[in-house]
Amino acid sequence: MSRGSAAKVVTGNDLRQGDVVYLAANGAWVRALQEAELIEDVAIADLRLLEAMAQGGDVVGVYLADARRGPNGPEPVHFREAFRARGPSNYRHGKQEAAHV
Amino acid sequence: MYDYTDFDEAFVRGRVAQFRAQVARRLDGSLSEDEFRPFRLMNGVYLQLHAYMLRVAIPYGTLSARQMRALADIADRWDKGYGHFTTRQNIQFNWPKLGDIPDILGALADVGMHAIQTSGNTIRNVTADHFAAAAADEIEDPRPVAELIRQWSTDHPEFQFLPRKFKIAITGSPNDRAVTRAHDIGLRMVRAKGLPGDRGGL
Repeated sequence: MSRGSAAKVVTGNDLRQGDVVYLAANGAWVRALQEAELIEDVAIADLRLLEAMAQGGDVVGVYLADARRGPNGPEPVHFREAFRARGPSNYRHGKQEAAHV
Repeated sequence: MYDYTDFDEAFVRGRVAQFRAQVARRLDGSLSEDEFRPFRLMNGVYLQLHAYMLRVAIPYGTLSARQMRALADIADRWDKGYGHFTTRQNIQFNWPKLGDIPDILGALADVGMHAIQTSGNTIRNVTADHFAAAAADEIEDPRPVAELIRQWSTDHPEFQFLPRKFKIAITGSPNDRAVTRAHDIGLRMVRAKGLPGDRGGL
């Protein structure tokens, strides 16, 4: 992905569910971008990506996405990542479903 | 409607069993994503932005009430209670879980349906005028020809690895409701002089 922004998060999709997931600082995969580890050093980001890819197994299509520091954790930079983080714009389905049922 | 022969039935069941084994090997880690991707794409399974998506073929747009109920049942049991009908006469389920997809394909096989060649660089679902056999301007029902093309193109070894996807549409009417001109091959029936009873030809 783009190298335009200094800060990155490691992201991919869950193998079983297909959900968007992010790598947290403790090495766990989480559903919320806010809980992801914001990596500001490019060298460390590349290392974390390699570690995540080497884990294999549970997550598909792992890559580094641009992100920036926000008041509640990492925030998306590109609109594609905003869609992935928020879920479908049809809020009755996907990530926004729980808050609206 | 076309009824599956024993050969068709065995072929579709065989593909479901094959994909079930491939999914099991992916889930237990013996297949990598790079190894598995071509297998899932041969069975209509995409990984999209928010989830997996399964695209089911509705050949030339003909669907029985029994098949429609099976699609609804699949949506209720394994998805979120709905599906998305596409302009190319498929239905897409947008939230299936990978481990459930072999069961979904099995439920489709129960009603003579499948997701074969609904993705990948191959000949896709053959589409026809959605008013086929009910249109006043129709020369002949295009669906028997569509069925022949479907049978010819399904699992045809020469066309499994094309440079890009390839789409065929057919209409029996002068009004191009099947959008044949936007397809790689568009077939339109014309009334030909010299054929018995001025019958339609392609």
